[in-house]
Amino acid sequence: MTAYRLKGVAKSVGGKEVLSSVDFEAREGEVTALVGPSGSGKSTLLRILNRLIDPDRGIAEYRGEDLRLWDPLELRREAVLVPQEAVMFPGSVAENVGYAARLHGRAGMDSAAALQAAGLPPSFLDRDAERLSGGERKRVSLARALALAPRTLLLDEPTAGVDPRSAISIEASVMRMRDGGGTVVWVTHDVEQALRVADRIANLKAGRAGPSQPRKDFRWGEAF
Amino acid sequence: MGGGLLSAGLPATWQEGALVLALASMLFFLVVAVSAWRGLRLGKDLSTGFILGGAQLALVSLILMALIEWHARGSLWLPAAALLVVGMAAIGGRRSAQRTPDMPQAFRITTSSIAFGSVLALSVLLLAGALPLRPEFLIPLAGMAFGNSMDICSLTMERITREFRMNRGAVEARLSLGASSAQAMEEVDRMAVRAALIPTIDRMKTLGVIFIPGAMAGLIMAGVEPLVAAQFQLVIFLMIVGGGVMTALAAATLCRGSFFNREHQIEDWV
Repeated sequence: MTAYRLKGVAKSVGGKEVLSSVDFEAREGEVTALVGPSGSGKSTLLRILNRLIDPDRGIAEYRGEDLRLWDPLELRREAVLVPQEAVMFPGSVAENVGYAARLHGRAGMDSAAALQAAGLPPSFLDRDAERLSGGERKRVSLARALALAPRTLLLDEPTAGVDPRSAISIEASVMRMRDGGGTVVWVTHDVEQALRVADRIANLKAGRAGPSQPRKDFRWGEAF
Repeated sequence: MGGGLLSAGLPATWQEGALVLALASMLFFLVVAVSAWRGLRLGKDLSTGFILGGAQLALVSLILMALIEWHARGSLWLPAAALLVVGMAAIGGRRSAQRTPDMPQAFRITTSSIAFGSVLALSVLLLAGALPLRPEFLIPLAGMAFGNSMDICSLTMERITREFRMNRGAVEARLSLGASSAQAMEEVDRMAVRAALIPTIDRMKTLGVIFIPGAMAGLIMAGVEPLVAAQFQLVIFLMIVGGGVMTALAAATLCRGSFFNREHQIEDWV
């Protein structure tokens, strides 16, 4: 079943056209990688999928329904975006991981379990979140999203700027979520990583993208 | 010497007041001369401020005199006072909105917040019976409440916009997890409101130590026992702080409507 279907999506930000015509598809239970160079509009596209912004033109659907008909708060709890910049909220790691559960009055997953799923031991729960390293922050940011037990995970360069060990840990966490039936849209500029983790790959270049294709059909030459 | 021209105390008539003012103006001319000598180029600003401030004070005094007379005659003074209060809110709102010229609806936000905070604080004190409903109390106290609320509103507007821009990543991270715009702004609101109130709270902490506030000084000079003047000054400070807190909270809440649309998405201008 299709999680996301976009056709002819266009979006301008601050008077500049960032996406001019994007066709995109992500299927449920799969990892769909969105590759493209910096400034190609990948993050903008991801923000449309989470309704942080709405497209100016084109068709955008989530689970068969127009994205604009989804209640934004309900959608964001179901399709959680993990931003590229792993901003920590003031307080402990436990407070960060439990943030969404406190908001919505329910926990999709226990904080310790979410932290472990993101590749960090429960002993981190008492640590001051703002004193963590870059790689640890990325994993806490991921745990914060996993704690909601989302149906869909939207990842914006989740391994950018982290050490190789943290990157492997993050990749493994996402793979586990996919194996549990979760849907993932993974934005990356690293084509090798896309070929490693994704079931399907979409190529975004200068604000334009064609439909995503199975990993086996993706050719290096087509990248960017 | 008994000290001063009017050894009996404060000037009793406007003619005496004018004489005192003329003598005190020597200080103004001294400052203007020093400013010119040191090349500070403050002469024009000082003169404009002095003349404009003096004219405004004269105008409000005339209005107050009329209201006091209407009240003494049993005429309807309250609607005129209410009109004056609305004018104060609008002028304060306009000044305050100038701090964030790029924010849509800034004037509506500042005017409503200043009016809400000040009127609420004044109403509580009037309803509690701590202040009498008479023009000689209402107008000067409204001036103090509106003036302080305007300063606090300006600080809130400036600070909340700055904090929002500095913490945009954190706000978006919260929105991404399904937080409403109000929930995503909790931290920014708290920082902005606290920062806006710090000068007022600091002033309260140093009351009587570094300075004797205007109302208390005025009451003492008018012959009121210093302890009673201090008590009344505290009532005024409660009004200022209470009105200020409510103004800051109202401004922070109303700003949300300019920062976000109904879909809990951040507006382009921020």
